[in-house]
Amino acid sequence: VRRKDVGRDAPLTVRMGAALAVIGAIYLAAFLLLLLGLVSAANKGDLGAALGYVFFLACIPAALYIHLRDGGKLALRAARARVLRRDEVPELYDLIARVAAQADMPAPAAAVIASSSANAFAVGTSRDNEVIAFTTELLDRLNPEELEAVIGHEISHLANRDGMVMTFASGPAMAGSTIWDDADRLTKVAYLLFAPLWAPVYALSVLLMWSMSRYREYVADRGSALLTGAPEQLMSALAKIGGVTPAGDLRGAGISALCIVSARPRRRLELFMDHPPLEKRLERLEEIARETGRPVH
Amino acid sequence: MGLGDVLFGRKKLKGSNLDKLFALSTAQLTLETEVGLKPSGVAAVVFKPLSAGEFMQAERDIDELLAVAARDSGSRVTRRSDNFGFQWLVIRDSDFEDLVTTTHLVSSELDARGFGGQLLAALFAFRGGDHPVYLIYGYKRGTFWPFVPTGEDQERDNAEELRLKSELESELPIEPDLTRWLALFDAPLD
Repeated sequence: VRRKDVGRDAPLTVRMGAALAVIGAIYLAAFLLLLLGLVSAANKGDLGAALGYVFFLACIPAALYIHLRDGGKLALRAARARVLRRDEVPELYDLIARVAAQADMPAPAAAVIASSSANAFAVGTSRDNEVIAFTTELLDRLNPEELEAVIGHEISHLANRDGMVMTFASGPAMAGSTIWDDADRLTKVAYLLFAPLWAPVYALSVLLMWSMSRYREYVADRGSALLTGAPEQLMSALAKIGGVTPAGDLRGAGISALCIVSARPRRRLELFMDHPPLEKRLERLEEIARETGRPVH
Repeated sequence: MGLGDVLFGRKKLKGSNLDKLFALSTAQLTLETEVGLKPSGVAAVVFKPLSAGEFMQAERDIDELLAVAARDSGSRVTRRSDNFGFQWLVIRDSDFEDLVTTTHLVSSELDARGFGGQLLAALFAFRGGDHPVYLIYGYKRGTFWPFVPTGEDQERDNAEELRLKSELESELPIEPDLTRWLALFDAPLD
């Protein structure tokens, strides 16, 4: 086997493509509906309505852009993360530098979150402001090899630009919940009357967002296995922290998709999870371990 | 990385670029006479072995490789490992050109055995001014950078490193992005 093909998963790529295509179609539908509204308003000479449609058309890219630009910073703040200086944790910075160099990435900064649930996530809008945040519990519980595996997972999220992809994938779902939250009670009643029209689209958006998040987890797990050369290190880290962890303090931060284990850890059907079930992640890693066991030609 | 690679998370583990290693043998004379860097006769290839299933096969491969390298070059090659789980193949040869050649041979053998993505850096030791000076070659980027640890507490002599950068730039492909100048403290060269 060629090493870069290790753990390469064609069915996963197909499912990811399907999810992305449907999400893209939802964007396109929203765009076309607004455009249609704009054209008909313009035909009727209703300037006010036309401007309203133009505003909403501009809102879509603007909201995505703002979320992309500020989402990471907001997440760090919401989680009360403190960025550490190099001299506070030289070993951690050295470890991150090694893994990053192996991935041919600039080394991200490290931040710490005082929390009793073991978790980590990565944020950043460009290569020079990326940060990996670790909870104190994670730093306490994991040995250096396991920590290296977690860093490999987070650096893979950054290398694959998962923040960007997940912003795109969660756009429709975020728009749905924002529209609902901003409505007053009377408007909500009106929305409910039209539920058969939008509810299926909203439900689909949320399910697709979660499925994208799960797919990216598998990809980041594989990245970690390749970077560290040792899938079993991530397996042992996940076995320690990937079961049902205490209710996370990261829940409010809205970045569960970039966490090493879900920040909403309550057991539920896989369809409703933003991370794959632990057993499945361990299974895949075991498969990668087996594949690398073959002699190389 | 193209859009498709972003959408599908296909960023690959970058392979190794060995081509620029030989620039070091060409630059040797300048290093010694103009920059004042005298080779210590030691170099190392740093890489991450794959553990788990591949471990046994890899062990055999590397042992075989060391035997080949020793036979072909007359350099002495030993194995060490560090706290980060990286393997160091430490190469000794009093002739600098042979040292570079063996380093290249060891790297390309590792590459041919499928470890290309696992190669992190090659390190060449020099006797400089106050502190030992290392030139590190990053396989991913195909560039060199100077590394001057002061020996105190993971400190590095940034001023000296930058001075060396400006002196070496005309001789060697020096990594332009300073954030990529990976430090390799506690090199197990002894």
